[in-house]
Parts: sequence; C-alpha cells; structure tokens
Amino acid sequence: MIVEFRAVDKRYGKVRALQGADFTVPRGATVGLIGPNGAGKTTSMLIMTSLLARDGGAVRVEGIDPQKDPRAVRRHVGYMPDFFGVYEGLRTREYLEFFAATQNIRPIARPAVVADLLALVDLEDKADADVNTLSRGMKQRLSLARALVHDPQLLVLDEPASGLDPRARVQLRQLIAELNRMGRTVVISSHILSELEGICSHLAVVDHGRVLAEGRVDEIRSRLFTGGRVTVRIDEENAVLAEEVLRSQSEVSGVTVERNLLRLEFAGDDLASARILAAVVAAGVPVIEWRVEAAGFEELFLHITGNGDGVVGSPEVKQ
Amino acid sequence: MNPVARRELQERFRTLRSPLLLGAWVMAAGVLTFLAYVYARSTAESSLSSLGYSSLGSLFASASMGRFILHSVLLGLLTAVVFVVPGQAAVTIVGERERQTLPLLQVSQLSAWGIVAGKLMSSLAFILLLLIATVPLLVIPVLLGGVTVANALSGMGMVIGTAVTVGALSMWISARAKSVQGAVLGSYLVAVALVIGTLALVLAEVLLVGPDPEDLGPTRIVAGAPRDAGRELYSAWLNPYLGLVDASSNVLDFRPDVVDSPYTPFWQVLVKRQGYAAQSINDLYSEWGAVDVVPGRSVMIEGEFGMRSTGLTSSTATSRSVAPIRGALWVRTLVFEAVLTLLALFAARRHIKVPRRRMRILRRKDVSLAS
Repeated sequence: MIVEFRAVDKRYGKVRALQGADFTVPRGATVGLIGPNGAGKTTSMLIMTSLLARDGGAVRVEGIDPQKDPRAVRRHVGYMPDFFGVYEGLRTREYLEFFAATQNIRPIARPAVVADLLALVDLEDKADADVNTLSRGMKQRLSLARALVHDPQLLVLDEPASGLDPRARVQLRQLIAELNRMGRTVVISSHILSELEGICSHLAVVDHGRVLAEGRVDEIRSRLFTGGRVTVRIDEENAVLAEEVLRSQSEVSGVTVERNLLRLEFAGDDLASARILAAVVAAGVPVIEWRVEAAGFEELFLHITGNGDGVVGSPEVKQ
Repeated sequence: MNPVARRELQERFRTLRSPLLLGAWVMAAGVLTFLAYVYARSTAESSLSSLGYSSLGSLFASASMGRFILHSVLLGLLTAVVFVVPGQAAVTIVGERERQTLPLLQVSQLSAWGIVAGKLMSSLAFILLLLIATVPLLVIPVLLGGVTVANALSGMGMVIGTAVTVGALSMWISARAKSVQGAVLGSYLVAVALVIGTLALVLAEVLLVGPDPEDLGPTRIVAGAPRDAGRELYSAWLNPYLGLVDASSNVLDFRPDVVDSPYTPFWQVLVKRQGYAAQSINDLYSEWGAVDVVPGRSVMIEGEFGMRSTGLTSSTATSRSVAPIRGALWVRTLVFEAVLTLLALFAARRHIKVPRRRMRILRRKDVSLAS
C-alpha cells in the first residue's frame, strides 16, 4: 500500500471534515476519491501531501508519517491542487525550471527534465510562451507537469478536470491513464463522477468526512448490486424462443422484449451472466450482442450514500 | 542561489520599472546631496564672515560642511529605508498566498526557512542595490573632511542593519496577513513604530526619568571626572536613528561647527546618556572657547578659536578628561535589531511551515468555487 489512512480525524473548528476516515491506495492503482463538495476529499489530499495536520488517526505515505517527516513524504508525492498558481512574466519553460529548482534538481539536469515533461504534456510548442497566456487546458497540463517534476511515485490530483472544455478533458484523461501505465500511482478526486469512469481502478466513496466504501471498482459493484442487467441483441425472428429460454433460467428475475432487444435482470455475479448466455446459445439462438450493464459511478455513489450505515446521502451531487 | 530569490529577482528586473526606479533614486539622491552641499557652503560662508573669518577654504569650514553632508545623507537613507523596504517586503509572502503559489512551494523540497530566506533576500536585494548606488555620494563628505571613511561605512552599516530588520518585520506581517493591502499597511505601521515610536519613547524617558539637566553641564567636564548620570536611557537602544548617529559620529566630540549638523538633536540625547548636559555644542563653545575632545582621552580648551586651523593649539591648550561612561549605543541598537530580526523570521517561518492545523487555501478555494 502506498497510502494508508486509518481512522483519520480532522476538524475545522466545529466542522468535522474527516470522521474516522479509513482507506488505502494500492501501489500502481488509480484511485478515485468521489463525493460531493465538502465531503472531505481535499482535506484527505492535503493530509496526504503533508500540507495539513490531522487531529487523530494514522496516516502513512510510502510507510512514512507525513506529520513526522513531511519532507520525506514530499519526495514521493506530486501534488496538483485544484487551482493554478501563476507567477507573472514567467515562460512555460522557466516555470517548470523554477519548480525543478525547488525540488532540488541539479541545475545541469533541469533542461532535460523540463524538455521531457513538456513533451509528455504536449506543450513543447508553448515552451517560450508566457504562462499567463496559456489556455485553461494547457495550464492544467502544465500543472500536471509541475507535479511530475521530481518524478514522484504518487500523484495526487485534486479536481484536475474542473473547468475544462470537453477536448481538454479527454486529453487530460489520456494523460492520466498514460501516467498510470508508466507505473505511477494516482489519487484523483472529482465531484463530477462520470469524469472518473474508465480511468479509476479503485474507488473511495467519501461523504460527510467518512469513507463509505472503498476497493476495486468491480468489487464494489458486485458487492452493492447482487446481480445485474443485460441487454441482449438477437435476430428478431428468435425473440420468442430467446425469451422462453431466458425465463426458464432460475437466476433470471425479469425479462422485457422490445423487437430485437431483450432486457433481463438477474441475480448473481458475472459467472451467472455467463451461464445464462451459454444456455441461450445452447438453445440455438444466435446472440449478436450480450451487454452487461455496469452501474455507473453516480449510481454507485447514490446507492452507497443512500443506504450506507444510516448516513443520508447528499443529493447535491453536481453534474 | 535560493530558487525563490532567483525567481523574484528575475521577475523584478525583467520589467522596465526597476531600472527606472534606480535611475530616479540616483537622481534624487544626487540632487539632495547637491542641495545639502549648497546649503552647507552658504551657511559656512555667512557664519565664518560673521565671526570675522573670510577664508572659506579653511579646513574648519570644510570639515563642518563634510559632517553636515554625511549626516544629512545618512539620515535621508535611513528614512528612505523605512519608506521603501516595507513596500517591497510586505507583498512577498501574502502575494504568494494570493497567487495561490504558496502551497506549491510548501509541497516542494524547500524548507520553510528556505522560503523565508529567499523572500528576505529578494526583498532586500533591491534596497541594497539602491544603497550601493548611493555610495559614491558618501565620497563627497569624506573628501571634504571632518568625517572619516569609517564614519561613512559604519553609518551605511547601520542603515543596512535597519533595512534587514524592517524587511524581516514586514515579512512576518506578510506571512500572517490576509490581503496584500493589509500586509502593506501593517508593515508601514510596524516600521513607523520602530523609528518614530521608539523615538517618542526616548523623548518620554528623557523628559520623565532621564538624568536631571540641572545637575549636569560643562562644569562636570571641566572638573575632569565624568559623573554618574543615574540610570541608562534604555529606550535609546531601540531607536535606529540614535544608533546611526552613534555609529557614524563621535558623540563626545564637542566641536563647534559653523554648520549645525542635522545630528544635533540626536547628539543632545546621546550626550545626556553619557552623563553630560544636553546642551548644544555652541553653548559649550560660548562658555569655554574652542573645545576639542578626544573621547576617553582629553579635552583641549583653547584660548583662541582661530588657533585650531593654525596648528598652534598645543602650546596654549589645557587638557581635561572626558570619558564615555557608557558603552557604544550602536552596538546595543544592532543587537536589538538582530534579536528583532530573528524573532520576526521565526514568526514568519511558523506561519508558512507545514503541516498546518488549518490551510488558508481551503477558504479561498470555497470562495473560488462559489463564484
């Protein structure tokens, strides 16, 4: 585990930002911290990056307590906050060189580090542009490059996609996925849950300072939904036969037919779905498409916060 | 070089503002020094002629002019420091907060000390440049005479020491401020408290509890033994102007001047601190004739004023001892400034050291999301 939070408490005056928050970040994972505004996502990230002191509980980052040895933790962590700090009159290259200097990178190594990062975030042609003139998407990519300047193992990204246009969002997602492939562990937060779908291998669902669920995305899904929905596309002629076969399966709880599309609900895990499919095929129905509908992050979130331990889910999940 | 200082200097000197300011500064300082020279020359001429001496070229007049110019320039520089440094230093840390770059520095490998040191360096670099640019002006009084190179250098040292202290205090204000405007205002208030506030304290102490002027006077000097002047004027230690005057002139140098130095009011306080009456040098002169004092050694009382410049003084002079009974004030002022500087830097560091109990950035973020 690269990050461990154990029963972490944090208060701001009377407000309890974290109440016994528990979660872990496995090495190599991309973990999405999801929850509404004020749930405790940024607080968790600030504690992780050694900026904020916790009031209780234990935190380890690469086995180090960020409160005991913050500088050692910072060597392993690249932090991209949800704001972009700009210095007037600095060019893109100088901006990165400055932050390379603050990370104790030797002057002789800086130009190469900066050139690599500019290539990675696709800002090579903006190397000599004034930072202030960059578009929001470019600034966000530059911000990511800044977080990577000391080659950290863990990347902590706070709402990286907020305020970006769709194209910039796609670029950023691709970049984050690429960084994960390069072996970086990524912790990423968002209150726009659909943003994180497809790039997160793990989730930690945060609400009112508590972690309501955490783990692999598919595991959370199968834990929450003891079954699933499948959309089946077949030849229209075989619709009646297919419906008959499906209804005869014990796991299937309901079937609706709409010309060549059948929607069924079943109880059980992915293997149950595979058994049902095998039965349909064995009956001689040619299956053109068999699509298991997974619950989206929003659905997961609403499900978790709505039923979780008596905690009332926040309806203000912004879209 | 400290990356924070380097970046700030890069930012500062890349614009046209800095060279323009530097040019304006050198110009203004040059004009003021020239005006001081013109004033000193005309005053020397008129007082010499009223005394019946017409030779402007005499060493005596030129020494008086030299002192007047050096003292005016040094007082001007110290005052400029009080006006320029807070404006430079107050924006540094709160500026990083407003630009939201402070957390980016805090998560780097820079220590809180590194950030504070970089900020102090960059905010003092400019005033140091301005001060260095005025060094040539100090050559004029040194060449005129009446002051030594050591006087000029130690005066400059006190000005720089005060600049560092004012810079550190402004950074402390900057580190705890919530806005740039608040930081600038607070820094100027603290700087004014340091120079004017402490001066008011000194005056209060002199008037209320200082040595009684009735007891003291030239007679004490003539009697040869410096008397005990009661207790020390502790408030005088705190004032940078008094420290500057003490460092760049001989307080017990009872010398009649044809041009009254702007140091005169400060000398009165410092002379009083040494146990002698706070009388102007001209009072001493009218009582004794010409007086020349080598602190700690002797007083030479001359029979005739003009003999100083003829070099015939020794045959007619009688010596009296005048010794400072208290140690140099400027050393105490420097120690006070050093302590103040360290305290301010410690306090500034405490405000930016992480992990913190509260990140101010959180509140800012909420605001920015709401807008």
